[in-house]
Amino acid sequence: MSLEPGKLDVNQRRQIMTTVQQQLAIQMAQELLQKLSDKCFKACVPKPGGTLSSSEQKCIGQCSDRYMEAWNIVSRAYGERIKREQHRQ
Amino acid sequence: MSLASLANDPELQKFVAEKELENQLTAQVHHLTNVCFDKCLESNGNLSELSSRHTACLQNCVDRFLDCTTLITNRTIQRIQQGR
Repeated sequence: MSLEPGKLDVNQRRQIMTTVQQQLAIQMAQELLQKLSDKCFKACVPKPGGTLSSSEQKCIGQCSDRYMEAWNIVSRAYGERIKREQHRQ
Repeated sequence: MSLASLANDPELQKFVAEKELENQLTAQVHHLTNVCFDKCLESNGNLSELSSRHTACLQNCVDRFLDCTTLITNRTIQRIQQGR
């Protein structure tokens, strides 16, 4: 299937890149979910009961929304900082 | 597909290097958000929206944290150079 022995053809390369991309995306999503759960459980469920009350659920929902917004703000600020540093050099 | 073909493919190597860099940057964003969420929102996840004060705090937090890292890095280098 390869054009040359020991070399990747275009499709093989594309396939590997797609797989790597997907794996990284999954990894990032898992990390984000972990952070969200940690933060929002800590903030919203100080004393775990028999179930999650509706107010706890509402808090968790809002907390995860705010955390995602914060993530975007931080990401933008970080990107801008990097750009500023590059222009300074 | 052999491992050798994977290792010898320059386009793939470039791709992997780019992804590694992207990964590092994203990991840094995760870390900064982790730290700055606590500092700026004071574990008060029970907010219906982020105010402009919260936004400014997050932005400042990012810059000040990076300033802090730079300061520490430079100081550490100084110490090493002075042989302490």
